[in-house]
Amino acid sequence: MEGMTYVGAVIGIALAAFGGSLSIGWLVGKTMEAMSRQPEVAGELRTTMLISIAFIEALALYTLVVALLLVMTK
Amino acid sequence: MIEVFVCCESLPVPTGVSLKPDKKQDNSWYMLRRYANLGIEMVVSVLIGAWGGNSLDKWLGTRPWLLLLGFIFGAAAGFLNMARLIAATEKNRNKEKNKA
Amino acid sequence: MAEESKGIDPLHHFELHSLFDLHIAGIDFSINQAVLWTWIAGAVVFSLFAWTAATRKRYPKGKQNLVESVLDFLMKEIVLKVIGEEGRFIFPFIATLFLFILTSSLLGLIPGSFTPVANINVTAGLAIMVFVTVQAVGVKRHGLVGYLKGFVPPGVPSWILPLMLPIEFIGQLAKPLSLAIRLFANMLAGHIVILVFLSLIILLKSIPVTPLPIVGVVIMSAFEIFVALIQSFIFSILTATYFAAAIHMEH
Repeated sequence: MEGMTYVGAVIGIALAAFGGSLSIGWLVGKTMEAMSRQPEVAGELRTTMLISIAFIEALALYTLVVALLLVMTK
Repeated sequence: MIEVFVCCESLPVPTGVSLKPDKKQDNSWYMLRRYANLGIEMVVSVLIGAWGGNSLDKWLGTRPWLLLLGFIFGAAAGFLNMARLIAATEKNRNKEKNKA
Repeated sequence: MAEESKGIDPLHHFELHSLFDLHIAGIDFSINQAVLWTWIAGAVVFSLFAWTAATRKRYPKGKQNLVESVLDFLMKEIVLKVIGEEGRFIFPFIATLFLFILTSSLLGLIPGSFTPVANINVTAGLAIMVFVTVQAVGVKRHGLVGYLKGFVPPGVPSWILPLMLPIEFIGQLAKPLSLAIRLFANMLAGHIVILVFLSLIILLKSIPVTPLPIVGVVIMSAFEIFVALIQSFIFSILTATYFAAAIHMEH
């Protein structure tokens, strides 16, 4: 049963990377669309996009921390 | 090669260094770099809060309360840093808009 | 654990072994590889710059050109652009950080050496140094009361102020520590990839496949030079932004 901790950690990281990359890709794509439609608000859209990317990144990093805790303190 | 470590007279500033900064370029690229660090910053502040609360708990024997408090403080610190950054960006943009 | 099952543990290289045991008042001051290579990196930077300064000429050539262009770049691109004219006095600190991180990560690419910045304790030490210096600069510039006042937005009720203190402390500490974690993770990951490529040669034990890992190692080593430059630049430029925030404080 000891190996199951590693399995759990790997599944967690894999899901976080999957969800994070999917959402960042979608987010940037939608922002690009909006920017090309309305170039005059491109600056504001970019700021919002960067903040949202930071949030998504933070969530993925939380998963990384939990996985590292799982592996290191079993 | 030995006298390398002997020279300790005041180290001079090289001749080419005292140049004026370019006024043309805006600092939005530096803001971008700051944003690149934002996600990791939020996680690190929560970790610092949790670690600090846990150590205080071990020292004072008040398990889990200070850990929870540290968690909340850490999350608040991360969000405060983010809010400051957004406010600074907005201010910069307004300044540029007024200038233009 | 992995050593028994597979024969090779890529993390083994990054474990610290004491070279010279030293215990003072119950604290472990042992000299390990990280300490040794930190000293070597410091000695390399110091001797290059001190030598150049000792043999400087009015019309630079050779190593003086290199040193002057690096310092010029750091002054113009980082200090003057991010902090401005008021930040001139902090230039030696930021230049030293940049050169130390760059030198120690480039020295780590020499086979048989050790990268001190691939150890979280070294980078966390750098981060704590940055934290203390930023706070000291802020307090010196605005005075203790003025500096603390700068953190409080106007119109905040007074009962919330004691709550703000730990939150601000965590927030200020998190900024340099996130840089430390970023630097450490980048360096460690790059070196682990190189080590994994190298251990593939031993694991596969087949001569026809051997060129592939070697090509991988060469490409990764070239990439590591790039990563070392980028990471030391990011560390110093973000340190400069933290200094800028402490110097140009809103009131």
